Amino acid sequence: MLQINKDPNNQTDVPDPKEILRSCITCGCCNDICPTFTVLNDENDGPRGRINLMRDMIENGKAPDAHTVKHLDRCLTCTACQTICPVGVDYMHLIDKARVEIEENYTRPFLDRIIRNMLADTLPNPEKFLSKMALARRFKWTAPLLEVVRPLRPLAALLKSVPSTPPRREDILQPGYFTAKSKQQAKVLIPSGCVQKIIDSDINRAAIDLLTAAGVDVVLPENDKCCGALELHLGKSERTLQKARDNIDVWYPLLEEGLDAIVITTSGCGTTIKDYGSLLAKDPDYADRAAAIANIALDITEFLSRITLPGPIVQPDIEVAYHAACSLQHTQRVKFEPRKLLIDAGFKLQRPRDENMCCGSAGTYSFLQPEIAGELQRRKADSLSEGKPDVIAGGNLGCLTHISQATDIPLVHTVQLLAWVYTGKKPNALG
Amino acid sequence: MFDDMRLVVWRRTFVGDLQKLLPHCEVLGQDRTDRAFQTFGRLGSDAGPLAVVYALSTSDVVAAVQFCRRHGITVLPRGAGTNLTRAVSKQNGVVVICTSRMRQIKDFDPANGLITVQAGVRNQAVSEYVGSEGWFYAPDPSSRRNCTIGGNIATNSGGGMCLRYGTTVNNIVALTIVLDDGRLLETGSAALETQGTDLATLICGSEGQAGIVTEAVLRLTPQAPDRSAALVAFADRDSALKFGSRILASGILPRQLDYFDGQVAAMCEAVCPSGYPKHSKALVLVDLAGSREVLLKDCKAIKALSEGLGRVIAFATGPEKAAALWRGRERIYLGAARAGRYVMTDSAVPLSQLGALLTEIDKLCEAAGLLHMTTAHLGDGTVHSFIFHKAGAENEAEAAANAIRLKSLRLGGTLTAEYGIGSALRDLLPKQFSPDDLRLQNRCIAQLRGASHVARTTPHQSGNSSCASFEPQTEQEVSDILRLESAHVFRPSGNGAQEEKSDVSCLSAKALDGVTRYVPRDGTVTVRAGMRVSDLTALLGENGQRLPFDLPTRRLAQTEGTIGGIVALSAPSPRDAFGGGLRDAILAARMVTGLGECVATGAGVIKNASGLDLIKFLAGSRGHLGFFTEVTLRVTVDQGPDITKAIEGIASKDFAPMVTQALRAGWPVSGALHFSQELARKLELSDSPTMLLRLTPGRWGAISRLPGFRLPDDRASPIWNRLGQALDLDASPSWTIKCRPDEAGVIAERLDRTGGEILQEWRRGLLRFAHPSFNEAEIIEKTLRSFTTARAHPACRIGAGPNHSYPPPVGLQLLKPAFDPHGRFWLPCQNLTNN
Repeated sequence: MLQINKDPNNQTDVPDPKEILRSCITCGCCNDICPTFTVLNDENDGPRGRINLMRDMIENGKAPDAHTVKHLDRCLTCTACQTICPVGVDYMHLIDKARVEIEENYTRPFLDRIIRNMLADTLPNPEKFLSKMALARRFKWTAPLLEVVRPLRPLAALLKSVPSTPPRREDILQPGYFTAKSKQQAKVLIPSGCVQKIIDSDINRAAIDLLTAAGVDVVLPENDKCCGALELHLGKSERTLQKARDNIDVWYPLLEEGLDAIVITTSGCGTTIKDYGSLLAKDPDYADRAAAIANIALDITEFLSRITLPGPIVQPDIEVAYHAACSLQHTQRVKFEPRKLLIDAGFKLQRPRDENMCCGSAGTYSFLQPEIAGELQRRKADSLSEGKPDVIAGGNLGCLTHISQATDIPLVHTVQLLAWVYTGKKPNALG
Repeated sequence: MFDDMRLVVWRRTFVGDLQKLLPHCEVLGQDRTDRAFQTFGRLGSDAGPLAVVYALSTSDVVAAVQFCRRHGITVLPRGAGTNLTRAVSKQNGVVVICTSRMRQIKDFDPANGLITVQAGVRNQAVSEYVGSEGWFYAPDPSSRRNCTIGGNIATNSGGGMCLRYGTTVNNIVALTIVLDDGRLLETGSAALETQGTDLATLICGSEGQAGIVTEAVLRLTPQAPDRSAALVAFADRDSALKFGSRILASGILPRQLDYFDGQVAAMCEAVCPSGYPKHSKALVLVDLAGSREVLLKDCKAIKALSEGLGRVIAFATGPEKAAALWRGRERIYLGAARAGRYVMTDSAVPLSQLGALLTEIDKLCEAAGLLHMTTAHLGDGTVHSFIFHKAGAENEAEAAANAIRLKSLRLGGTLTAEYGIGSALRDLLPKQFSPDDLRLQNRCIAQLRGASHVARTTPHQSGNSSCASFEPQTEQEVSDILRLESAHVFRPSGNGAQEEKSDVSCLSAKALDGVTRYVPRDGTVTVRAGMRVSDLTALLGENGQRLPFDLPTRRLAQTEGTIGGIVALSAPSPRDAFGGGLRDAILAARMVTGLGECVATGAGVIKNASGLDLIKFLAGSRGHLGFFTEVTLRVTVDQGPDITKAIEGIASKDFAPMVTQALRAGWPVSGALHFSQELARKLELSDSPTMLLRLTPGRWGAISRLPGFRLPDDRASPIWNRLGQALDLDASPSWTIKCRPDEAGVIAERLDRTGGEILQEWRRGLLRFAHPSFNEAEIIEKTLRSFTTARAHPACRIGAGPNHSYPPPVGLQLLKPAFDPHGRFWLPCQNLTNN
């Protein structure tokens, strides 16, 4: 049977933010790699500056001021700084903690608050999301008008990102049990997801096709929820914890029935699910189960590189530019698996310039900070299309939709390309 | 309470006004203290700068500095804030002027390898920008990805490659500096010729005290065609150190030569597996650059040199493999950080004392019960000790580190070789420098800041002073003479030769003869200033060594010149353009100032970041500022007489690209001249325009592969050593034209059509031109006025026409009052007033 080799010392205790702060030696190595620092070139907008801004709040318990909030809001949480940090400062948990502090102790301007609440309410809830999207499409024309008013720019960005063709309800992938088509080698669970299932159910379909073809049973559970990542990054950690508990309630019984892995097809969610262990470490009821869930959570590319894939059916003769999502390359440190899978499948892989730069999507960031996100989007689209690839592949839906606004090259999930090679079903985006 | 309110209001108006003054720059701090800027000083909670200005150009910096000066606010320059010495620590109520957004690359001259950048350009960005043209910027601090050129200059930073390519001070050509009161100061010029003192060398390493560097012209280094690396393991530390000296003595000049102990190897291996053996006591990593042919030879030589001492573990040929072998060593900070909390030192000692220092470090740390590991640059004597400590026990580790630093001083080294003093080591500075030394350094800073209490020197008038000759035996005597004989104005002299018609007293160094310290293994020599150059070269010759710079032979032959004399003169030579000038070789000196203080400056090691580096500034001061009593110079392995190749048929504008090409092919060029057709004929070199390349013998490929013919030594050496005389340029009507290096070829070509004799020097933008029937008006027309200065032979001057002369070095005027406030040393009037 398959062995999921995870780090046995998987860290599940909550890192003490004060301790993280103290570990920073303020050397400044992180500045050059930080996307917002390269765009804005302000010490306040680099990781070192942000850590210094957090000091008062976290060490001395002072209420955050508007200045601190402005600069912390500009952080993408791409954690590129964590990759390069010579002392390994756990920046991600630090900024998460700071966001909670801000949410609790700072009153945002009225419009800002409304928009944030709306995002946190709508996006993770598929039903609300579908209905709001229909509404938004009707008001899409107002985007240029809204853009003129500074506080309304997030709304404009939101409206602009709404696809002009409505997603059809019948396209949404329904929960179920998908049996392996060849000799069973493992059984996995794929979280049914929130936004992705509405915008692009094809990703999970491709994943299921590929996994079942490779001899993996796939469960798509019925009542699970959004993983909570969105709200976590908006500082609403209580809601995240509730979502995590709900999901554990659904997933853990399945785990006990025998699951080899929880396979995640959107890397942004993967980061949070892999972190369930430390998020719930202080909850005596859930700590153990959360740790068990986190321990078998894997990105789809991680999982695929640990199993035997069937023989290829298609010989693809196209060039692929791989976009490394920050949540994969920096936070989860999954760098080589996706590339190796694509090369092994016979694709010609390009290495775009500035791979470690964020594309600016970063969850709700592209709506809340449209200026910076736009600049990063342009830079990323430029560097990806430099080698004139036939297709851009990535592991995170957020990045893919964001980048697609700035380039004509089709964008697909890595697993869609792999499914094409091993099952023969060509992704729709490639015609 | 009320006062607080007033302060808030004042602050708001102050910052608001500053923003209004600089509408296009971002000014932070309107309603808060900026915590983000409190790096490297995490103590209090509510301190912070008053405002932060992100300047975009030199004029922004000037405006901001003047504004702050008017309000009596201190200004603190800041680059990327990557220093390790709490240099830009938080201070209450200062205005931080941040140059990190000044990221323009203003000019790049690929043929001469010069680049003009703004201060905020990152170190690595320079190398990236010029990489495709085959150049790179050599100073390599570990923070090179982030740190800015401005910050590099302020701290005179460098890394492992300094042995071969020098630190920042050796790689800057010209600077634009905004002084404390908003005055703009430009040192040097795009033309490399620096006559007399070079103020840039004093600014470099002044840690922002003297002013804010806003623009710099940098000297680039040609990329070597190939790279190799070797890893050698040893059973004990002494063998490793011995291996290091063997390599240096063999004449191999590695890019980097690093020693590290077994623990460091294990630490690096843990973060980045690079194939370092786990159970070795000591390791040496050698990094070599050159043409493939030379590298093969070098690798063989390294194998032979390691015999009987250690074992070669790996050879890596090719840039990628060599970089891979070094990767682990480069991750040393990551490894150390993962291993625990630590304090680090960067002191340096003369190479022969390395063993002693390392043993002492072991003892010190053992006594303090602290874990430590060590790595050292065997080429320049820098020792990095990582002293690990438990949380909260930082003070103990810091004390041990300070003990190591002081020990290095006692062994003849320096407190800090790379990081600088900052506010971290300020308290230790008096251990390295005497009160007099520090007073002089402070006076220099005050003078640059234009502080009003510093008197201006009055130049002496002829006929006012009595005339005598002194020949002091000791330094103390020099000091006594200067303090007691107040009626005299002195002109320092090497061997006591009086200038004719002199109305000043002669202070001769003749009796100050002898070697103070010479251990061939150190690669340095310390001698008293009156030692004859011929004696020193003979002594060095006996040990297979030589001085690394060109000696001005003609003057030496006439006057039996002394070491003090050649340092005071610091005559320009063709080697300057290749990093082999006298300023690159002088490390330390003792001198007596006009006040009779005996001061020391610099340190007897190749890399020194402690204190103000006065010595490089004093080189070329011609005795106007003080009297040298002792000088420390770098020496190199003597590899035999230089070889000169003459290549015929090179047009004047192809000259610079040709030299660049030769450098990039890995030829060890140490001089390059170009002669016009007329001049080549006159010298009987050939019948067409000819270029001369001087090559260092020894480690290189077959000379026959380079085109052209070899010039016999007896014909070549007069040309190199007695340039003016050999060409007879001093006698006939001639001009010396100083222009931008990238324009030299074009101007030479234009002048060439007149059939005159033209000599061109590579990279220095220096042309010498002689034509029997040519006048000044014509020369201005022919060169289209594109030169910066042109000095004409008296015979060429017509009437009262414009005489373009060299401006006197600005640094000399500016700093004379700091060294010699009462005008005890000679300074002819015109030197001060001729602008």
